[in-house]
Amino acid sequence: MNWRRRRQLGQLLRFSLLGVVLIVFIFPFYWMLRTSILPTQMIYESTALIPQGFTLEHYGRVIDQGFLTPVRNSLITAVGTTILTTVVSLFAAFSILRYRYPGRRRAAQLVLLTYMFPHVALIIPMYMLAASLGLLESPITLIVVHTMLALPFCVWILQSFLMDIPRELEEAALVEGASEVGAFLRITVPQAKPGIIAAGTFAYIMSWGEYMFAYVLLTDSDAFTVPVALESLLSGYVIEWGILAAASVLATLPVLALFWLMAKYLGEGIAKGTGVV
Amino acid sequence: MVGIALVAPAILVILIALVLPFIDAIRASTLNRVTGEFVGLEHYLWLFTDGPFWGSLRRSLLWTVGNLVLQGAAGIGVALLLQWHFRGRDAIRTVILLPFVVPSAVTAITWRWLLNTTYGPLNSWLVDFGVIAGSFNPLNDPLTALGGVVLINTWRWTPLVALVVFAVLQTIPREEYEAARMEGAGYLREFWHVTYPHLSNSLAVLGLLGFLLTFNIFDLVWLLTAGGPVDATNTLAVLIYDVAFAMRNIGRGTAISVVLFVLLFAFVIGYFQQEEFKEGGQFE
Repeated sequence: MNWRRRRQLGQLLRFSLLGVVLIVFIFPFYWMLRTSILPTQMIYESTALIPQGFTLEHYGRVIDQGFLTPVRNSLITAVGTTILTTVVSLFAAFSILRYRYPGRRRAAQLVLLTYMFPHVALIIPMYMLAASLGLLESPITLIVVHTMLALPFCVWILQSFLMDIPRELEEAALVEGASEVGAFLRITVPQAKPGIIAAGTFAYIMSWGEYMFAYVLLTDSDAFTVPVALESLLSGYVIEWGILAAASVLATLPVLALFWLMAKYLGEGIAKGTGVV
Repeated sequence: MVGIALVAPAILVILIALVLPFIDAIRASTLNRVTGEFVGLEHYLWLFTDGPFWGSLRRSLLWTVGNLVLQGAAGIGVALLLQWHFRGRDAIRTVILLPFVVPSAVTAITWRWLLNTTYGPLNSWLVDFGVIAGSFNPLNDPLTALGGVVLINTWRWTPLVALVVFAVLQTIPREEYEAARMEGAGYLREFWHVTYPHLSNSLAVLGLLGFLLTFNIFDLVWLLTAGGPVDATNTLAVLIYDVAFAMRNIGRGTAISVVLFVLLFAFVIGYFQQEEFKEGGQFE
């Protein structure tokens, strides 16, 4: 076998492996989409790869059952979490890098500390705290909890992006008479934009999908978020897979709109983050 | 002063939503669940003697180590595949992240549907092709359930691991590969002598973070199997929930979580004693 032949074989192998990877990660979603548009009878009769029918009936029924209320609740929570997390973590990361005070050099390790707490253990005290404050049905409770979950990670990501910004840029702005706030807003924030996008989309996606705290803290079905509403569809006496598939597709759309932003920056952010620990 | 003011909101959020509730949990672990009177270490005694703790700890370790090994191997593999330049690479890199961004509830629904013994495609096809004799759902069999949830969780996280490894690979200077090729190194030697040394630091940190995150995963396991069948997937996170909520024994449930925290803390301290972390000033 000559060199050229080996090269071609290698190429072929590589593309077949890529094909397998794509199928493994994408096929399950294709199957949900297929199920969501098939007439009920066909869902249970055929496993043909190409759907032999089409209906929007399941989507209609999911919406009739009030699935848009959890979508709205989840949007409020996820947007609130994103804004709060991004602002708080940007301040924190900036502070850790630019100011001197005891303990700041340990910050990257403290981030790891927060992930040692078994979150399952927090739900009982959290429930009691929220109940005593009368905040059980309020999105604020969940926003604070989700911010706690996303924050350490976002500080980590932002810190690694901020480290790449030359300090001289900020100092030059200060010399030219900009205030500290002005230098931060006009120099630091634009420079850190990829990191801010990575952190923001991470917080959004985390909050959108978070199930455990939402499940325990939200007792009123009007306040349910999407994951909790999905679970309640799954735990009914009769599971209607058409409706479940349609609801799953609807639950995925709001993250699809954003996640390509994350694909671009998140990998880089975490990779850099592993360097600062 | 400004510096402390800027970091204060972050610390406040962690205090309110993490540290204080956990301190409350520690307190609850020493109380009788009905009367609320102080019982000392009674719950801890239960846990170490005849409770389900040891079984769950073993399952948690299997679950965590299995996930990390599989995700590491698959993640590196996918990242190496993506390292080749070809048309549509960026699109593929984005699209395969899908499993990571969808809610865990959607993941659970999707896999339960795919593996459904009566209507699911995987069973139907495998039976048609004669690969398996009869329908089989690994999540319903105590022997395979833990492996099943590990594989599904690996499916969920591998794309992210691949993305991070891919980002690290981009930082390796091309010259090192060229030098290795000049010396006639094959793919394997090239990976071992050039790629791996650059990856190992990131993998060490990523592995630690992954260990902590994976150990504490509750939602996917709960939504896929609820700890069953016959406790086959009853990891510590599920056990805590089960004891505290289903059995309404908050004292015992929180006692397990305190022990789990101590274990993870000890693990992290031990991990940081490794040589890689001792050298180099970055870590201080």
